[in-house]
Amino acid sequence: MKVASLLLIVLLAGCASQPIEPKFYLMRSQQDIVSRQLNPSEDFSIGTVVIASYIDQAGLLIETSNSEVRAARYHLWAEPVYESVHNELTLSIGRAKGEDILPATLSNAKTVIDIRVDQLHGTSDGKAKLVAYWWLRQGEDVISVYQFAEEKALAADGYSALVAAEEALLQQLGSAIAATLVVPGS
Amino acid sequence: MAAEQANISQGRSISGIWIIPLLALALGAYMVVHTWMTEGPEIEIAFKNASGLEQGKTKVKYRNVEMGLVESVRLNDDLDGVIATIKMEHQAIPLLVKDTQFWVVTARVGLGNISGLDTLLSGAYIQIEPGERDVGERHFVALERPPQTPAGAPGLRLKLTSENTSSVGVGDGVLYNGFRVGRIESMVFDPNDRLAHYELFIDAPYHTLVDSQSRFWDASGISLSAGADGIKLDTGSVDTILLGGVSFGLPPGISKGEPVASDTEFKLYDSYDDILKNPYRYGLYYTTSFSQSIKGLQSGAPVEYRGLPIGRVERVMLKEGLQNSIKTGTEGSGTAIPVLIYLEPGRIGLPDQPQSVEYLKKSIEKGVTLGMRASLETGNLLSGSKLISINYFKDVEPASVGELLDYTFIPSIETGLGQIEQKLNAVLDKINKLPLEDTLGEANTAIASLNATLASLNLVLESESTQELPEQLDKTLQDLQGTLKGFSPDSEVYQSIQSSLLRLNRTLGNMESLTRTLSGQPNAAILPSDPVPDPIPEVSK
Repeated sequence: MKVASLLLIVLLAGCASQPIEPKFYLMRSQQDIVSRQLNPSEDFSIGTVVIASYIDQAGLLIETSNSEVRAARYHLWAEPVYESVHNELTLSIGRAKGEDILPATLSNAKTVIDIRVDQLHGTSDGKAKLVAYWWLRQGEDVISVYQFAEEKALAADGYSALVAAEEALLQQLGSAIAATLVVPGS
Repeated sequence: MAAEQANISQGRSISGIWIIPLLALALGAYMVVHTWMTEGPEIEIAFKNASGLEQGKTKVKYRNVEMGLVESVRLNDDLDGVIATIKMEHQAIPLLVKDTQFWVVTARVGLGNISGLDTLLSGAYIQIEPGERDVGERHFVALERPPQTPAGAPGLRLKLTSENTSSVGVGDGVLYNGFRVGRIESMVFDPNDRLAHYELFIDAPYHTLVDSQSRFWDASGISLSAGADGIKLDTGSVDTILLGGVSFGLPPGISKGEPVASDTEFKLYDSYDDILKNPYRYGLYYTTSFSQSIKGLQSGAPVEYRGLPIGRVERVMLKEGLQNSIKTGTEGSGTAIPVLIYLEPGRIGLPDQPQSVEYLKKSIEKGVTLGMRASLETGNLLSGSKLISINYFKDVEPASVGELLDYTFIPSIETGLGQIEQKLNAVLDKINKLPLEDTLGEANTAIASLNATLASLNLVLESESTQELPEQLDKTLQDLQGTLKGFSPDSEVYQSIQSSLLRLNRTLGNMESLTRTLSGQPNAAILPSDPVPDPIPEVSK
């Protein structure tokens, strides 16, 4: 019996191949973050940030052909991508606007920014693509609605470059949103 | 001896004695011709009777000049009149034409005048009123009484009809604003149409005051009326008060009409007030019917079209309706009560003429197919008087104008207070039918039981344990509040749960991936295959 078990283990060991080690990516701003007291905006706050359900998965996404998207099995987000997007947009909007724009739950600002990220993935021709919408509302009344659709070429081969390109696109989106934040009557 | 020569005479010429007969003959011929040329014609005039006519005495006069003499008076062939043979003067020949009128002038004493007094001494005579035609005539029919208007007099001859013979008589004046401008010439009551027919003549130039919109009313006597605004007295001139007369004019709000031709017929209204109430000449009758109570609906009640008066209720045709029910075998089945209404297009601003009546008729015919219905409405809540309203209604059964009791029929609908009243009555009936006494008995029992329950409850509430209950409840709620506070979005628990949910989502995603792998390769868990590397994003060339 012992001999048979040993023989089976040897056979299985022979069939086993070399495993691939997964890599985890974290999307965080490269700019320096210093310790300071935050100065929340009195006019604007971040409301809901929604991402398309196909984006909300562990693997990074590449559009291999028209309408075909493949999620990487060994190149994964280090945290739920929703958190990364929310964090990146909050920081980049505040930075572009020049004031700290906090989530609506922490702010009493009158105007709330709601964002929906519709597409965020790499393309087969070496680019990152971001499509998003945002709208400004006061209470239940929507004041204005905007759209953002941009692509950015990868700086190098590989998933790190894809993450960097997607992060850059999110910062562009943050700047675009900040440009639309105008206090009525100002 | 001289021969004697015979004297030969030339024969005897005509004796001078013949001159006398010849002269007589010439004179006779002259006399015949003269007599033939100067003698007047012989005419015959038919009279009802020979009153005032005497053979060889009664004269015929024109402008008080003798124009003839009655030669004989005899009964006619039917023995129902007399025929007078009259020898007329030669100069009267031009007067003897087709429409020449004759009548006996005798003393007449009437309410309005006395005439022919001179005949009391001189005796009656026949008056001749020459006609205008060129056709000669030798046989005439005399008038019974002198004509009111000379033949050929300038003016306008009109006809009036009245439902009442009233006090208007022949010879009565026709007044315009109290001024006499004409007279009544004749009056006949026709038993066929049961109307009094008058002929009147209006002298020129006053005949231009009459037009198609003129109204004539009986101005006889004195009209006294008492109302909320005091006592009102209406009179005409003194002679119309005593003798009667007819006035004419335009009612208020009615514009002048077209000139009228001779013999145009007008209606003679009983009074000026009658005109004010019914100022329009043209209208048409309709019937409608109501299944609800028509209490308060009187003859003369207004008929309104969308709130505008358009006519009046003529009468409730209860009797005709019952007869019709018997005729159709529907008696006792609660058949709707028919009502006759009279609509006048002039009331809604249409011209008061026959064309407007036709227009209204067509409008109603079309309107009924589009939902026009008559309804019974309350006109005055205090008095309960009702009126009929004609209006358009949505969601009504399709219908068209029909016929009821020989009049065009407008379908009706129950609306307004009438309908509410009916529904209220139905509700009250239901309330009446409720077993209130039984219910009250049961309610009393229930209340007694409730009293016992409340007494028990009082005991429970007064117990110490119950008294402590609010305090314990308050404490429990405070604890619950504290617990729930720990689950607010700002709490650590909430954040932890959210984080856990996110991880759970991700794990489920991995599970999904694993499931997908196993479904493609069932032995993948035991015998892992060669890992397929992910596609590497490449910079575009």
